[in-house]
Amino acid sequence: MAFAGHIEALLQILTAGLLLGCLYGLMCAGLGLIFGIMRVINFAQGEFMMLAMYAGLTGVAVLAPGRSWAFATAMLVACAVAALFYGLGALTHWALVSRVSGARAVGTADAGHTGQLILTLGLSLVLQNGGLMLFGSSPVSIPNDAAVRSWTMEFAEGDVMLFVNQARAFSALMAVAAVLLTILLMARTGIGRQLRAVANNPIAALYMGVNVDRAFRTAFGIGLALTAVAGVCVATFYPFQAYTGFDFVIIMYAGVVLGGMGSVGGAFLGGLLIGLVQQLSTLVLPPQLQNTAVFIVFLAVLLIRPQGLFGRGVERA
Amino acid sequence: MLALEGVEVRYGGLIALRDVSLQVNQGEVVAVIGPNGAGKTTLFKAVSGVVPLVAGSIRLEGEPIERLSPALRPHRGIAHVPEGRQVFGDLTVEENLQLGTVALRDPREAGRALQRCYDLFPVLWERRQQLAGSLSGGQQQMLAIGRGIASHPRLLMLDEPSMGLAPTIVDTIFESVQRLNRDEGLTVLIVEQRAIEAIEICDRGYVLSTGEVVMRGTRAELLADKNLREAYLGA
Repeated sequence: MAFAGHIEALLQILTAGLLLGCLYGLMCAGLGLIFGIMRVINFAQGEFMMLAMYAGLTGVAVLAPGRSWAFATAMLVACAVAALFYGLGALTHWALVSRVSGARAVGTADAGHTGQLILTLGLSLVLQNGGLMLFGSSPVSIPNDAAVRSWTMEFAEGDVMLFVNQARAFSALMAVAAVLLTILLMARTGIGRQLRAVANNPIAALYMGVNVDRAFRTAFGIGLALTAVAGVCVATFYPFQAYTGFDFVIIMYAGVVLGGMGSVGGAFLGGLLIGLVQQLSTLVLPPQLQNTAVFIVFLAVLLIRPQGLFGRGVERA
Repeated sequence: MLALEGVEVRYGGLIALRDVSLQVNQGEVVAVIGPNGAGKTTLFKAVSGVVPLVAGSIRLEGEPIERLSPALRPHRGIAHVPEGRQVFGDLTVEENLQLGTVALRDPREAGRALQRCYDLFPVLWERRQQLAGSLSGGQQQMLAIGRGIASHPRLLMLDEPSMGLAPTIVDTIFESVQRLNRDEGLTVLIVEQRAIEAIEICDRGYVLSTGEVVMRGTRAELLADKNLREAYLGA
């Protein structure tokens, strides 16, 4: 009976880690896409996700004020928020990021990295405190029907029971769908081919007549859109406030580096692994230390494979 | 077709090109030769727009292009095959060629443009699903040229196509360039350190030294020049 109890706890935690990991993976895919194509580390990625969470909350409150159908509405809202954040990303790139990256940064001594760091870090602080002013500091989440519903699975004649929260499960499915769609976009379409070419060699892409600045703008937009979808999904089961972006951005960096910078699939798997490690660590460590466990595994992996689990090393002239 | 007049380019305080004037006529092969650091690659970058002009003008078929954004210049018919090939190593051979068709006027022509590259370099067809980074140097050069002509350019600019390649492969590549010029009337501007080979396939040539044009002439004139033979041809 005690043995069944251990199995049950393990199964429960593995499930939780997988489901949460898919959402971490989606966030990482967004950050990783931006880094992989533009070589820009967006420190404000978490804050954009926080904004997306509030956008999702507002959208659901307007469209489905009651709890019934609130989750399905939230998923539709997530798609709308993705489109909105694609636009916001393109706008942010056009107005700010393009000034310290791409063609304008090529001639500068550090290829614009200092400017990018200060710009995106500054942006994150502005958004964080702006969020605090606008939305207050009390944690909220998107109230919905699925968050309070679970599927119950029984194994070994009822000795082992597994509860799967429906909001978490559907959110994870949504995340997987979004990542698969992005991978397909990158691998199979003309725009994906142009983005990969720009990532590989922006000058040569210019010689082909590819508008590199527009490609960067597209990449920044897609990157924010992916993380925004993850934000709305997470908001259906996780209370958030204006500082939530910071909690997640740490996980995003770790996932992107772990996965091997520059591949969407790799970043997703990196995030998935972090979700699993984080949850599994609660078996042996107090919950406050779960991020410590994440970074111990993170450092261990980088000691053995500095290029990340799925990376091919840095090769760039 | 292409006319540079009084072009000046600086890198910081350093003058890379000084008062360079150069002309390429329709259907010609024009060679630019000169030692390392003479400004040959900078000349191409100026035409492509990746380095800005301090002074001078660049005209393509009479129209000034020096203010045109670099991404638009291939759409006007300029194909730049850069020094060191610079193929997209993480992409397949076919994807590289498809990127060459971005500047095609009519996107429906893309299939035929790819076929033309494969006809010119059959080895690319055999390796079309392979990553470009896994090709040999010669094959990468063929791919870089194929990627260049996939846009059906009016002017093909080749920067050091012989760099780091075995002589037999250089011959193959020069032959294919000559074939493009002879059979399709493609206008070619070629930059080379291997002066003899470049002069032999050109109609006219320019000699560049420390950023200035020090000599110009037809193939016969260049081959006959004693100083040039001594200085650059080592014969």
